[in-house]
Amino acid sequence: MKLLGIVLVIFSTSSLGYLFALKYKMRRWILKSMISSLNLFKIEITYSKAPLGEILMAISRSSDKSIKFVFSKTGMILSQNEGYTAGEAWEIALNEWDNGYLKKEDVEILRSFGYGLGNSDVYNQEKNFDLAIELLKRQLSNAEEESKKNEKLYKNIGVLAGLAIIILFL
Amino acid sequence: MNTRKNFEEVLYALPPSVREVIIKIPDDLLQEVEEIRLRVNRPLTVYLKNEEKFVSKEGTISFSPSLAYIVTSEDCEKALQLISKSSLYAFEEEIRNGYITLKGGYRVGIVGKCVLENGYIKTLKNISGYNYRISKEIIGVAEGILKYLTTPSKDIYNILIISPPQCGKTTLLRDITRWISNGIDFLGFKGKKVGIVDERSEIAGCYNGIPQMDVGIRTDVLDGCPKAYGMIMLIRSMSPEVVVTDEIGKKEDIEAIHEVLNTGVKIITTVHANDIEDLMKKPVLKDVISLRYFERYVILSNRLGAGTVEKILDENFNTLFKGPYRRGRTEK
Repeated sequence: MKLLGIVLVIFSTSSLGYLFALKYKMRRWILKSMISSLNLFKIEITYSKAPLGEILMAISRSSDKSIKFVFSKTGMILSQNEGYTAGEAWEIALNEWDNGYLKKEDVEILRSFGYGLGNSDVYNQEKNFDLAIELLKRQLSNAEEESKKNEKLYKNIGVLAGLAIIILFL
Repeated sequence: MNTRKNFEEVLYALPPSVREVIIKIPDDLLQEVEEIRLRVNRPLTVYLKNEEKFVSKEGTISFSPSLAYIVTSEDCEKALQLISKSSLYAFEEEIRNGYITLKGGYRVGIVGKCVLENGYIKTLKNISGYNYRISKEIIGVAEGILKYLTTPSKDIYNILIISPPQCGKTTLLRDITRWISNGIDFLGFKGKKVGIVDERSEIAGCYNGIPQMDVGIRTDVLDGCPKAYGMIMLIRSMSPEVVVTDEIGKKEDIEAIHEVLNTGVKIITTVHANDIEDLMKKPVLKDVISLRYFERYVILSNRLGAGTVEKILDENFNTLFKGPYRRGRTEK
């Protein structure tokens, strides 16, 4: 009986720790996926010069499911021809996107990227992409540092807290 | 509902506030609209029945600008993005030329501030004026004059269509092309291979390379290519029997026509002028006339509305047919 209690306590506290740590991992993952999708996006615009709506749909198909929504939603809004520009559609998609793992700055980078989306020539589109990708990369290395520090910390705290409770109650 | 094919593409390309106004215009009038013009901070205008008129917020059309909807600078900014479907990067070349072709073959002319680089136009910015041209595809306009354009041996003459602007020369050219390509049953004329050099995407109205207009079953379209190169290219690549192109005027064009005729390929083209005499005054073009490149001249006006055929002349400038004739309407 006592043993079962010990196991339960340790299990619950350490999973709490993992949950906190997961937040860091997910942010890293989303940023990484976003960077690679934007890279693909950039190539499509500069090389194939296909219409934006088509590109967005193609990108959403090849994107990780954590970020798929932004591209597919933007593409969908554009395809409905309701008079939204790409920038506006992107903004709507971002607002509807469930991105609890990202920090506010990360989303702001994507938001300002949207303002320049599709409204200039290839050269300036490329610059807009490069800027966003560069900034996201910086966020990513920040995120990596943070997670290096905190991920382990939270996991350890979880386990240790469990142990502490057990020692206290024994 | 507008009966024009893909008319909704024009609406999609209008900024939402303007779109709202335009769809309030009664259907029978909307059918007649040939141009929708947006000019920043000025009234929204439409061109119909040879007149420019203003459109109010309620969609009524009048001559009074005071009630008209005023186009804002936001409208103009938005219009460009909507016209390009937020893909401005794909239209650099078109913007440099001053127009964008929409799906459905409609064209939007634009003006703004030119950005120059080494003396060449790099792009346009601050676009301040749009002209949505709602081209008409009138199938069969050429029917009545076809018998003057074909030889007794069931071939086609070299034809020059002479017309002032906005008198329907492209519409006529397109229809002639379609007849020649499909064949003319009532004359026993068999369809011919036709090549169109569509420098400004006007004849076939290509969108992403696909003709949006019906230009006939045996027709190949070289889209967005300079005429002089295009004509030669087409002859080499597609071996057409007839080459069709629009609005000749440059020296290179004339040289290219000369080469085309040397290969025995027939040519049908158009030129901006009021009549033969007017044409003779133009330095480059007078050679075309004096060298007798063409065997038939079709002269257009808008006397009975756009597309009125005034006269058809033969190679010696004798009148074969005297109008005015417009399909469905003849005046003695």
